[in-house]
Amino acid sequence: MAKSNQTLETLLEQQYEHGFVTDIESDTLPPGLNEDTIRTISAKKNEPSFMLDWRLKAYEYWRHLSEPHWAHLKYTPIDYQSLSYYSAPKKQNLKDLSEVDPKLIETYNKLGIPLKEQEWLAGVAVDAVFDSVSVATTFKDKLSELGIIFCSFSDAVQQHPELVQQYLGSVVPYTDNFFAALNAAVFSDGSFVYVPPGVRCPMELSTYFRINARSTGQFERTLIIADKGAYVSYLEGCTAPQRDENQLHAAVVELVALEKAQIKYSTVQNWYPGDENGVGGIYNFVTKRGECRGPHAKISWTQVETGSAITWKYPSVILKGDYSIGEFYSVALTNHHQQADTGTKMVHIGKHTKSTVIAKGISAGFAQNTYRGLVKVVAQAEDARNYTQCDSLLMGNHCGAHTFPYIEIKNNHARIEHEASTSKISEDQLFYLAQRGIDTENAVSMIVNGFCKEVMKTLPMEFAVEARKLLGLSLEGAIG
Amino acid sequence: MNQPMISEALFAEKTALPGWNETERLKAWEMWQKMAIPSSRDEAWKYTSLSRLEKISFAKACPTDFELNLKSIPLPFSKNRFCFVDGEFKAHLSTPLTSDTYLLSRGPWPQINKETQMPFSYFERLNAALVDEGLYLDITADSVDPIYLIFWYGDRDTPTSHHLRHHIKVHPGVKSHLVIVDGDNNHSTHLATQMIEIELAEGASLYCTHIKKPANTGHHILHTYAHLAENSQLKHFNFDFGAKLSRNEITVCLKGDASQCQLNGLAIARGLDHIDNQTRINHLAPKTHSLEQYRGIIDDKACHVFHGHVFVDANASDSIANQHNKNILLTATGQAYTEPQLEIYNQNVQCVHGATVGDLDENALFYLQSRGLDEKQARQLLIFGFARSILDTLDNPSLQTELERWIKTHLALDNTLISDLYRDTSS
Repeated sequence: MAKSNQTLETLLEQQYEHGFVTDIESDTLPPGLNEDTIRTISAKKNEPSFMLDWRLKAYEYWRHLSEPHWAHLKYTPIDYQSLSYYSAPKKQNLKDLSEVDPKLIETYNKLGIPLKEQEWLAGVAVDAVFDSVSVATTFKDKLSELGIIFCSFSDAVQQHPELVQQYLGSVVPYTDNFFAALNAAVFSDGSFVYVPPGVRCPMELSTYFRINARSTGQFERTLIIADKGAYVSYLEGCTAPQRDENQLHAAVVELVALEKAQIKYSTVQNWYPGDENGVGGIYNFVTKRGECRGPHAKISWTQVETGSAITWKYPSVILKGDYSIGEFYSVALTNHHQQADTGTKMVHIGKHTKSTVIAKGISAGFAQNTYRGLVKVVAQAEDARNYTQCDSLLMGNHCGAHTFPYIEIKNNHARIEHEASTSKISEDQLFYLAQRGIDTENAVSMIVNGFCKEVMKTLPMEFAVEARKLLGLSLEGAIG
Repeated sequence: MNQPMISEALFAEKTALPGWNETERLKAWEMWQKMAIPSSRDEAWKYTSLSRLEKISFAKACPTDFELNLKSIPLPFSKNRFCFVDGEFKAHLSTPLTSDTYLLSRGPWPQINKETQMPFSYFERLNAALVDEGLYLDITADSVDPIYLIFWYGDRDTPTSHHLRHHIKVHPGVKSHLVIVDGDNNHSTHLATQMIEIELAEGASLYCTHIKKPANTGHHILHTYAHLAENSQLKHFNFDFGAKLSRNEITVCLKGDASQCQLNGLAIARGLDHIDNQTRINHLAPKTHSLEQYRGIIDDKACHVFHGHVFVDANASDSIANQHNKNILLTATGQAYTEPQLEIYNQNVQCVHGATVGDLDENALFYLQSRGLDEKQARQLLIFGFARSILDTLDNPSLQTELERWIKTHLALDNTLISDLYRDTSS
């Protein structure tokens, strides 16, 4: 046991693998937030006037809000005036990959995602967001043949302003919450996807976000629209360099699924979680929401959250269309001093709507892991169904696992089931596996993989590998 | 802060109970005045609005000539019973204050261990400031007969408020039964706050059944706070037949090693009833067990709120917590809100919770109809069966029989039909 404890300690104390800072000249605004900051951001991006107006309205609204504190999180207050709200690598307007800053390519190589290899081997189109501006977009031509628009948000604003104007803020309005308002005011870039009616996107669309320049809040905004009968699967993956200061990340993701459309959104989040003493790490306050606008639409969220010092994230689905379906699969892992308050909201408005929530929380070290979920059935939502299952695994006696579900039902034909359990890895299971010649390390890994299996199997294959690797790194030895 | 609900004049008229600490009472009043009435922005009052209650101005309850007839309450009253009408003790309806198994004092209260006192809240403060009657019940020996505490409110033309506060202490190793009945004549608007502190010493055990008669016009705020020492056991049953506003808060602190509690509740909300059950179980010591089962039957335009919080402290290893809430919504206009919550800081625990909301099971209805029942009969049988599973956990057969009758009457179930069918199916 002593030996396995040693392995365990080494594993637990493993340094953040993806922690490094690439030295690239950045075009960064001085810290501070006021109307001028917003005008500058908008001007730098050469945005049409409707965008600037919207940003200013959002800023005005945000000024009157106060930061929410209802989540089960403790963190040092954020000074919004000490952050810089725009940072972009200076070299821009690249025609192909060879023009990309070699240092940037090096960064990706360190991360194990060489763009070219991915382009040819994995068949994945990558819209890499390095800090706030997209510098390389691949496979665009192939997608545009099908009429699919997959580009950075700034490009979409320039090239498809009508789509942006129609859908921006229609799912997450700037009045939604504190962080969504902040994002609406200062968001720098993100991804934009539009899939035309009846088109099935032939590949998984993927974006790798990286936070690079020091003290730069990242405000991504992603908008995905699947028109009638369309299908798209979108992958979002994150790694970040190691640093000591806390960084704020307040992203907004909006999904719109029209009649019979399907959107599958998968996330692997591995931002810098802070060191074993809880110093540093990313503050991640994200608003993610999808709306099933037409009948038979389907939105599915899958997330594997292993990073960030603070996670505040509730990917939600508004089930407006009759027979629409919402799904949420989540693995949230917290270790050391990480804190996660995450879950989902399923709002049943249409008739015969269905939702499934599977959430797995794993808590080790001094971490706090909270599931917070809302299932709401309005009075006219006949025959709504929901199944929620949230399980928590505790490793050690200094961590916490909490479940805060909210169930609000106003229709008697709804069928709502919620179940949750909290436990540790049982001695019996470990003993049984040991008996079969499997050491503690492998046994724990095996049990944890089994614990998360329902979620992992919903991830696209490209992601499942990375997700498993991440879980392995952050968790395998974490049994005390 | 100006609070129209209870006027300054009402407080001024109030005199302290004999033996009560007047400074504490004044302090409570001052603190209460500074507090804002809970709004929907307060997490604990998210689904229960006090905006209507806030607008009612409650006057002092003048004595009436209302005479309570105990025979009108269909319950198997035992020889130990204490009656309170409009917050006043009625000696002629009650049995002697002392017996060989208990000692009841109406003041002065003995010094109570601070730890076993309930924490401050908006209604706790109001209650402490305006308390009408306080009971200190000291249970010193085992008793087979349950002790009945009956609280009744008479009719009045003006809205009135009543405030009761009790401390119940069960001595080491003593086993006891307690039945609390709240009721009124169902015609007058009133606000009744009731604070009950329960203190169980080592190895003590208490069965406590709290029955709330239907009160269409009443506002009942009940806080129960239980403090359990080593190896003690509390079984608490709450039968709520609805009120304009019925709020039942129960907090159980499993303070001693291997202490156990079981909280069972049945809420039947009809008409415009609003029932709000708030439970909190704090596992503070190793090997503590809790089992919680609340059910709601929601008819017409009624609403049932369930908020269950299980807290497991870092040193409460080997604890087991089970929490279940099931709701049946019988109409499209009813509402159910449920929040079964777990907050856990120890890995050596087994905690499970579950919640369901829905109409009667279609398959079960179909099955019963295929066996020759008509739809109405099938529905009645299923509704009764749903309520019955809470009733079955009660350990007092005569009380069980009476409550079964209450449930049937309140839900307008066909008694003979149910009895026949139920006997058939269970045999």
